[in-house]
Amino acid sequence: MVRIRVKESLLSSPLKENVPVEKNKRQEITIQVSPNGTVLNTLEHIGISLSRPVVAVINGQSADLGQELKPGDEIYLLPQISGGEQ
Amino acid sequence: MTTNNNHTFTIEFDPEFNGRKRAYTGKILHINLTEERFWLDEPADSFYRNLIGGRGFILHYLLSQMPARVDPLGSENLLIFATGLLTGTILPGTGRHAVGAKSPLTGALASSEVGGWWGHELKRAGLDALVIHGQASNPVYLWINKGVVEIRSAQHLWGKLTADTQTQIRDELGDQKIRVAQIGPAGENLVRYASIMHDVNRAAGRSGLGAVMGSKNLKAVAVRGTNFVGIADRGQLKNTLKWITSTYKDSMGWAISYGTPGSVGSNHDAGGTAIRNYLEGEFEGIDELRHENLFPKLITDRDTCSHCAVTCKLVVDYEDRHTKIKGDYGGPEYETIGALGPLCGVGDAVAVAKANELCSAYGLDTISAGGTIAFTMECVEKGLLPDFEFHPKFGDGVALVEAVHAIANREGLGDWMAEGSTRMAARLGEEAQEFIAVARSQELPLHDPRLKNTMGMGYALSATGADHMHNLIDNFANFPESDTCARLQEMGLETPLPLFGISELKVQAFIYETAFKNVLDSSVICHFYPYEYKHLVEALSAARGWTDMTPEEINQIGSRIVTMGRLFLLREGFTHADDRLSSRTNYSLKEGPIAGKTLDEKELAHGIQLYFELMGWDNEGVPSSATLEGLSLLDYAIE
Repeated sequence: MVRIRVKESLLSSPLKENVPVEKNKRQEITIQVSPNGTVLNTLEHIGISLSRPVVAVINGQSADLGQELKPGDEIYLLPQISGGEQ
Repeated sequence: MTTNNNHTFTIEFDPEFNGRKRAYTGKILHINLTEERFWLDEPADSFYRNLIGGRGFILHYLLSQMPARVDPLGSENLLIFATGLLTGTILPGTGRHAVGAKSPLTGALASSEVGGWWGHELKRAGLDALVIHGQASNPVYLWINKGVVEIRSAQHLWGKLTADTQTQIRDELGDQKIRVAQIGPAGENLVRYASIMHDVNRAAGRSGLGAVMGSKNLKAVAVRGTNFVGIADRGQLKNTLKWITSTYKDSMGWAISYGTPGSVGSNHDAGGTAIRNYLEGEFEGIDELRHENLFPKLITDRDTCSHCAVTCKLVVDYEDRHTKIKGDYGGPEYETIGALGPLCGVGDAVAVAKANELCSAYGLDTISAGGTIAFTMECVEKGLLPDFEFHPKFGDGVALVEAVHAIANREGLGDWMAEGSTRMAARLGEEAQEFIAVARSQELPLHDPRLKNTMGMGYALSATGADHMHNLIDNFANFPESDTCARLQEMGLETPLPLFGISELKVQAFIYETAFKNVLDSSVICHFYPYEYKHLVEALSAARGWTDMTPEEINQIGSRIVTMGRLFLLREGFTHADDRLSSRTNYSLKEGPIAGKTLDEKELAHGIQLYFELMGWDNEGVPSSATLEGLSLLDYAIE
């Protein structure tokens, strides 16, 4: 089991119907999934499509989206932009 | 001829531009402020196709018309305002222009792009670019009104804050639609990271362009134009327009919602925003600065640039018992919040917004201001500044605001800080050298190279010093659906690329991305629109009807401009030894999302050598004759 935390506003497609979801006040959803390869593979497997580039923080550490997952991992997907001054 | 005579010059418009058959005016105006002399360049079509505008034009004039190794604050430096090929057209994201000179902060290239309306207005007034030579004997401003250019006294404006100057110029010229580029007191006082403010709330921020303008006794350039900027192939440009209008609500949804401040919290949580001068990995005050709190507390309105419906700019209009913030000055962006907030350990959103307002009012670059203040706070913490009364400490919002006043007015410790962190460290001695976070003496933007390693290589290599704009964004290259990956795939690279490290593929990707973004900065197009090569070819070729333009040509133009930047560095005395970052990026954090991660020096050195090889430069970073010939740059070769 791994746990993925992602802001609902980041999703560009609805989740698959059979994916169990918990929501909170910050428009974040938490999804429990079985380990299945990398972060990207897992997102694809459960039907998550993201609207913006993200950095994945796995168990508190920034990580490559290609990093393999292991049971118990907690993943936080953080949207990123670049630029903007004054 | 004297300034009091309000000397004027009239530009004859080119019938082809007036006939709306192309997107450039064909006129570049030179003004020598010492001699009060004007002259025009009327370049051939090939000049526009080879260099596009913006940074391309800036480098052309710096390399061809400015002697080597001049004093950046002396009369021989050039100050160039350059629109891009697409500036002023109906295409969203093109309400931008570039400003350039030799930088008084770095001694290297200063080239900063700015949004808003001024560039659009300059082209509508009849000019593609403005090249300022010499120094006026007394404060002056330029008034460019529908093809007529006038030098006017600015004695009565000297010392004024930017909003007051803009109001007075509009009132005295009797037109509230005039667009004003100007310096505030920071530029007048030659603060080495003073900005040039446009429309009061938009900055050509980096590398001290405001000090160059101040050294020329040039307070402002006021512009009004009424020409319509045309296009050669209207139907083709409509295709680009259709792509933008049908996709921007999705692709730019983040900017429509919260602008760049929407990323403050997530950048912090991912380890991308430096905290307390790079010494800590988590900031306890971050919640106050997240958009969820910032918006209801401070943001009262939104603003945008010419022909852009995104409205990513924020407006802060705020008053409490202690603080008043004027909405005229806009609101803080991501980089500003990062630099004045977490980097200084300040979690007080009102103090950060007030410091931002003052930076716009005085005309100061917020990134270098924040970087220098954070550096000073560390020096205070380590007891290196005992002789000053003013002791700004990490986390002190009142001291943050006071520091901005002190820097802009060069008061007390502020006089030292006005020189930037590198020069200040040189005065303070060896220990302070460890505290600076710079490349080519310019403070790093808020994209921590310990997370974004290839971005760090870009800081080390850039002709403009630490710069996040023409760079590879590692986390975008790691995300398969990003515009970065789409562009790299167009160039035949397999994506996504690893987040960490500087692999050979990432060096190749860096070359493509820096070339592409140098063309964006010459066009001059907003980086937030997710242009791919096919879109850029479509838009640029429509501007003049260059029907045979290809993605490969875009790459070649970008490589040409990057190589011109390298030639400028070499001509000004930089060597390969200067292609580096200060040691702060090797500081290993004990906690937080990038704990234990640094920018590996061996990997950086290897990446730079590979970059040189792929660019056709030797192992000291000197472009070969064959490379220069292939890019049509032999005329700029240095001895």
